[in-house]
Amino acid sequence: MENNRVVYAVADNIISSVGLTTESVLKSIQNEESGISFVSDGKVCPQGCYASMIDWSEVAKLDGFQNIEGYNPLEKLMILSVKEALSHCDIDPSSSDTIFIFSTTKGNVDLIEGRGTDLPDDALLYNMAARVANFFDAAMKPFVISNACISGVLAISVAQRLIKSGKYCNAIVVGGDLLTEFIMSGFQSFKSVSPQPCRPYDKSRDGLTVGEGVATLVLSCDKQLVKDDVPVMVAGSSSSNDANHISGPSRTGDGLAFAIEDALAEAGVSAEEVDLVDMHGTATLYNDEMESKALALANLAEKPLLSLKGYFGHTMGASGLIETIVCIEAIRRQMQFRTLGFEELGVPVEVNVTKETKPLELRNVLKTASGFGGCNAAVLLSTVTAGMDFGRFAEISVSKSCVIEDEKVVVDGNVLFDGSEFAGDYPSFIRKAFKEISAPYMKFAKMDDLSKLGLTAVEYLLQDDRVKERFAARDIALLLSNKYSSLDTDVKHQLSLDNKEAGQPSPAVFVYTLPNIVMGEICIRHKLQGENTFLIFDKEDKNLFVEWSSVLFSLGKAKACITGWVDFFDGKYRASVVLLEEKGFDK
Amino acid sequence: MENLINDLKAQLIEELNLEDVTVEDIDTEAPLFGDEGLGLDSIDALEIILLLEKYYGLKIENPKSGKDIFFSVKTLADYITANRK
Repeated sequence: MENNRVVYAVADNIISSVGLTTESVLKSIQNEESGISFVSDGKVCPQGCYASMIDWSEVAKLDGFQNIEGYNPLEKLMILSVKEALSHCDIDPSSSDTIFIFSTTKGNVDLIEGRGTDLPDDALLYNMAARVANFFDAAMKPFVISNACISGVLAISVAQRLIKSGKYCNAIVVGGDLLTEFIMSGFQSFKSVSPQPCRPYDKSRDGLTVGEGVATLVLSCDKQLVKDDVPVMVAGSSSSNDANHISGPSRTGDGLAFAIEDALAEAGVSAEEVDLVDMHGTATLYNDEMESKALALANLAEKPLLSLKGYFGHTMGASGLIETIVCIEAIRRQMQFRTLGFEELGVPVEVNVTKETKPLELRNVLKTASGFGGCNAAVLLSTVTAGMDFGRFAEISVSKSCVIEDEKVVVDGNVLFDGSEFAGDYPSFIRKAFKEISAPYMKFAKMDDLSKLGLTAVEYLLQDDRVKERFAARDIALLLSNKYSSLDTDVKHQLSLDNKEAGQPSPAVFVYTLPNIVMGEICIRHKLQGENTFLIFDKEDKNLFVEWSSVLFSLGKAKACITGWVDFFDGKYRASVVLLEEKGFDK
Repeated sequence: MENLINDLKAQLIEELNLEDVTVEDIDTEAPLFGDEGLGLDSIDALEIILLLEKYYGLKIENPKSGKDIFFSVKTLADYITANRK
């Protein structure tokens, strides 16, 4: 197996309010036309608000739409998007050399409405992904990356590594989220929705515009599939955590700067050689402020800076993917685009926000995203370099393990806490298990049950271990996985929508409707700033964690990795985490 | 006023999930946010906005304008007394 492959962008598709194909989207962007409009949808936004919504009457006219029956709306769009992207390249989706990687925050979340904890199967993110992958007779089980607003960029990063390391030749990266009452009410509870179309980096910015969209990016190691005269390569990628707050962006921008520096280092591209930066640019006060600081830390403050939110709004799990595809198109067209909504600079660092659409020589373009849970991600697209060699798979040693289930905490095979007296009473059990080894921690009681479970498992895992002394904060990675995502807390947020008498949606609940928040809590608690990835899968797969950690070590992305399974739904739970290190690494 | 202050403290404990904190533990004049005192954060601030609406029928649209009002239990109580209908 060749494990030093180049990762080429070979085909893509975008379905959004801006257009229903990549071609039409780019036409609108070049004409500086926004997909944001005032909508008064009775359910999503009863009082009326600005949003970026897909025109379903136009979608219905798309080729093949009528033939896709028996699928949920988001799945239909994903199928259409993949079909369209595959029509531009000769890749066999059913080959064992092709992997589907999904990126979504909430999937078919509308299906949990009025259901309580009696969930339909399709509400599970993995099932949604499997339905779409099965439509294409996929040979391999799909991966689902659900990591808040960085999901799209992170899914590309995961795809890049799986190809680069020789595991697969082709990756079909599919991202999507639809605008639902669930999401809109949550952002409103955070008071982060702007009453005007969003204005990234502008002095008068006052919040984001929520949007929806679906996109597909096909990556391949096969250069013959590339139709461009000058191929675009994914040359570097990284992720990080602020270890600061679960919803508020970092006050320094250091986490995002770490991810940027690391992606550039992998690509072998200096800050000086970056031609354009496309950031998250949501137009909330603190996100944009943080990004300007991160750019300064990474010596990129003078580079042309783009936010595409003025066109698409914030399309959540799809945003990183849609915007990366637009960056790839920018390189193909050798053009910069105007940051719609921006007029007068309103961030603390003097950054160079794009004010017009014009030709620009582009060789290296950096795309970043940041999200709830304090996570950041970056990818470097390049026409001049494929990035550093992969080398060989690092050998792994397991330095410690912790399992929490059946009211017991087991570390390295020894029962360290037996809470049999709490059978059937998870809240009391987990509270006692945590208190048993930890000094009082005010944040614990505020967490949702999934976060309490993950935090407690890692508390035991790191107890008496010198891992935090031996490795730098940014060299310790977190890679967690589960089946139920954040559905236990999703149900609680949904209850406040199903029964409006019970009071308004709570931001303290909504913030936990993302599975990666547990990693944010762990990073804050232990001051860890390394790679972060939350994967949704159908069952625990220990080999997968070891393999992914090995790739992280081989690429120099981490020196230690906390990885495993953390799942909670309706009182049923299991955590099984291990601390992995590279074998032979000097202790 | 004394009653209002005690009610407020109990409501803060309940709504913000302040485990192991009692009404007696909360200093009426001490800062609610930041590293000292209760160490509340931006999510707690949003929850306090909901609390004021739920228990006192008071609406604060812009969380930033709440900064002075949310300084301590005392400033919160003063605001409620001045604005409650």
